[in-house]
Amino acid sequence: MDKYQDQTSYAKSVRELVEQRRLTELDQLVKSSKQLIPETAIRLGYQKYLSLDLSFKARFFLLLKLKEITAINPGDELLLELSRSVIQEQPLPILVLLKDKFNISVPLFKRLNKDIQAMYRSFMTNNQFIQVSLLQELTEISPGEELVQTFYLYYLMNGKFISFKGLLKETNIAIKTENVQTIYMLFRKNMSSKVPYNGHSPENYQKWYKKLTQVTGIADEGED
Amino acid sequence: MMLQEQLGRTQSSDKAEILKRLFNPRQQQLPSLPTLFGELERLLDNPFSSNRKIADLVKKDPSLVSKIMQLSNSALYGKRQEVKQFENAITYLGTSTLQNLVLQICMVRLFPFNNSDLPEFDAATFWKHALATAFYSELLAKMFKFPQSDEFYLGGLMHDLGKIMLYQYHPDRYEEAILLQLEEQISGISAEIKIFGVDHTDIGVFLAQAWQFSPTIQSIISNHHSQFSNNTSLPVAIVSLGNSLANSYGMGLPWDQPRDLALHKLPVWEWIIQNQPQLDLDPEQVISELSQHSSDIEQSVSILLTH
Repeated sequence: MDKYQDQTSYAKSVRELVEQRRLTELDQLVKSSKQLIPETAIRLGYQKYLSLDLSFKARFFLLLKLKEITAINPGDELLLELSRSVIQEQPLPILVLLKDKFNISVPLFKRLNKDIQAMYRSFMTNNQFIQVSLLQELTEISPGEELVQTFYLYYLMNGKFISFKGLLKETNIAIKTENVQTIYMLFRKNMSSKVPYNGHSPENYQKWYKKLTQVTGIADEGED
Repeated sequence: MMLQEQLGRTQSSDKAEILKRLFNPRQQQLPSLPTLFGELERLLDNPFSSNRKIADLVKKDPSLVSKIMQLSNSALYGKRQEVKQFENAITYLGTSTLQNLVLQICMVRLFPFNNSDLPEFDAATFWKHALATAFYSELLAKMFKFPQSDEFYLGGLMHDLGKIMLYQYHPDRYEEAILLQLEEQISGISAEIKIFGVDHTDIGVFLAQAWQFSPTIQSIISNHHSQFSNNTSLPVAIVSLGNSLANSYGMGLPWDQPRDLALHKLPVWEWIIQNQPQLDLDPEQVISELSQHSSDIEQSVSILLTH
């Protein structure tokens, strides 16, 4: 016979266990009862856990467990807040776990476009081009074309040909010809100066120049 | 003559032959660990060595002492109170950790990363990955209550040694291998074999043998990319997981980031759960637990790389 036939007393017990973070007992209670889990108490619990003065990993783990025990979703606004803090503070695996466990939808990710673009920028700055396509796959939000072109330029100017090639593969966005021509122009200028620049000798420039043509597949139009 | 062409003509040669050709030990091209490290190992093997004796030896290299002091006071090594005397640092860290730190510092000195042809493969990126893998491997070993967790640390630190060798001795070919990996969407191991005839795990073992590292460390280096099977050893599984965690938490080499970020679904978990059922493992808890050490690892790398 169900120990908690009275929904009110059941709800009270659930609320108390959530508030006191006694999740093992909550798990046992939920499993042993056929009563409806009070959604409001659980949502309040999510809110409380998210704002606890604990490390993110501890808060995230509590949220995860609460979801696992109750199967009640925290609601869009709370998920938005949670996703934002994951995107701002945490690496991708936690975002994957978050999406997987809380069924984060594409429209919700769209509301986080600004934060997601900042995450792209951070990945590109750190040459993590594979993470770029994973984030795209995960959120279904593409990195802005202008951002990608900016990073193509940055990579090529700094001899980061692997990153250029990698980002090109991951985003499928072609580099603008005029951008490559701009770099050729700068290379020619630096080579003719015969003065080492940025720690690199003119010989290095020659090597880069050759590689630039090779990896971009675009020839120097300014060459006689 | 292109190395690839040379290898094409020596298809019947075994790995050892290719490795000799790549690094030619007769010309003493292989890096060697400083004598201080060997002396320290001997001293630490002797149970009657006092901290004073150990300290006297290490103090012969003041910059080594300074780095060990900085590291033992850093967040990564679980600083609880400031350690001021080197002798106290030995007690605080323990001799195994001390040995690992000395090795770590010696290795950073041994591979200066002064080749600007491959800017993505810089000292900070490489050592961050090595240190993160070492740190996670040791932490996992401790979490699972395995003895000799420091050996897992060493295995993590050394697992990609072959990559620095390729970079240091054959940077152009190595870049070619990476571009091939990206172009053809193949694994790094396959690309290295196509270009060099051997991969970084073979090279790492080659060096670990020359440096007389234990069979466990050699096995970790050799198998950290292998499929899991009944023959997989626990240290290999743990370091392989440490490696995946480091990569997924954004502390991998740019071209080695995993394609699948669902860390909790990695085959290694299944292997551990099957082979170590007493652990009652919850992958999600471990992933959440280990997700916030990036800045501590960065701090240690910065200490290691500061001159």
